[in-house]
Amino acid sequence: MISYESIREAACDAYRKCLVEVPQDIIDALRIARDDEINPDAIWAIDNMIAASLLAKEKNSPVCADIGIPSMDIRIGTETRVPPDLPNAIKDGMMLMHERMGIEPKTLLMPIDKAEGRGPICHYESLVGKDYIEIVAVPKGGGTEPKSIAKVFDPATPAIIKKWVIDYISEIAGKACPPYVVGLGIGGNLAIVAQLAMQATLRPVNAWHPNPAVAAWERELTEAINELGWGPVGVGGKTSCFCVHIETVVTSLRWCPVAFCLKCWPNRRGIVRLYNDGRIESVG
Amino acid sequence: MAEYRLQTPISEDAVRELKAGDIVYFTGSMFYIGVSAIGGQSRLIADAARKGEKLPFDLRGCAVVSGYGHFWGEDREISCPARASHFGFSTISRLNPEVPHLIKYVGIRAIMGKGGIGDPYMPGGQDTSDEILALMAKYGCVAITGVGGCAILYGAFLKQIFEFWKEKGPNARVIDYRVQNIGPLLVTMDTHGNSYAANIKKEIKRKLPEVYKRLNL
Repeated sequence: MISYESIREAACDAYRKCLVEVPQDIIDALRIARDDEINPDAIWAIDNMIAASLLAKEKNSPVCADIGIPSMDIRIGTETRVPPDLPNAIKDGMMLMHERMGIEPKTLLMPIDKAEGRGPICHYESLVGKDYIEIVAVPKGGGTEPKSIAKVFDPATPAIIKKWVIDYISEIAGKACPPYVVGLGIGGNLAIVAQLAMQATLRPVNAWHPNPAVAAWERELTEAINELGWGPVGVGGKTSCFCVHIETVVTSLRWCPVAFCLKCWPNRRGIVRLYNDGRIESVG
Repeated sequence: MAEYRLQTPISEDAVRELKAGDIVYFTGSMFYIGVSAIGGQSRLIADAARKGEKLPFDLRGCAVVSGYGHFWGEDREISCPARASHFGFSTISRLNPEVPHLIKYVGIRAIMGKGGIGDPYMPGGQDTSDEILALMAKYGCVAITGVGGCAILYGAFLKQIFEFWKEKGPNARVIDYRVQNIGPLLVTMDTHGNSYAANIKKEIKRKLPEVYKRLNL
């Protein structure tokens, strides 16, 4: 059985990683964007982003002042055995991170009666045939998460969905720390589509969807958004969006849910696998 | 594009010299004004200024900032080498309802954050950017942009934090962030009617038909 302590340690590590370590694919994408840029204001913005990413890692300290709402996806391999108090181990892991890093945990509120509580907000699912638990830590900050949205289109045509995405992101433009990573969930039902959109943001920049038809949508939406030109931090420039990534599942012939998950430039995420034998592996 | 060093209290003449696109390094007080669900504290502050009442803080010639700072890792027993403090710029349009009172009645000289002031905070919201740009021109105030998500970088410039009106609740506080030479930051709205956000909006409007065409919409 995977021990309580190792789950706590893995959750702590995943959460630390998402706050501190800007993923390498983002740093690479920033460097490419800088090489491609001619607007001095955009270059100023990108230089700050690269410098902040490197400094955060060096100091083992969060890159952003908004540590967001701690959110975790816990994917449990069906070939693992986990302790019954798994949710407590995850919560303990989060608190351990706060203690080690000297950061006050965020107070959260129940929306109706305003009772106070603590995170993380967890979503559990199974990984069929896998011998590990995957912990995906994603802090949801106040810049982008309030601008994420889901809608069920009836009727739903490709043109209607694409126009909605372009029009919506054009209204946000430079307000929420671009260059963005946009995750789109398309299909299924309303409950599933938001989860798909979040999962789409976990893929590294330009790791296009394996289905060529979906990948074609991803590329053309990414290029279209970058045409609009608000650039890094909205000061103008060539890179407004690193990528649009899409996850899809089957849905109705006529109507279709679409979720739009917006991530700011660091696309903070920490993905850690914990195996039956106690090994912890960082995978993103 | 010129480079300036600003020190609070900033004079009206100094702020009128600045143009959108200039780089600034800022020293002094950046005030965070709490914005709760029932509205911000700017009206109270503006009323006090008009009546000549004394407040525990003085915003005249200073900046109002959309952002927040922390001294994380300080004075704690910690097992990691983090000793950094943080200051992060957040979306400036959060302050849209607060800014007009503060420009007109209190005499703030800069609004700092990211994005355009007056732009709708959420898609579909009210756009007051023209009105705010006109107030900036009339009374002497600029918008200064920092790069969001870079709190670890800007934290090095944060020297002290003073909190006021704590008793009014967590969303009603006024916080004086004292910084030294924070920068380089970018002037994005000036007293001469120039605005980065307005230019970007115009460009988006101009390019949207081409983008629709390319996507066969």
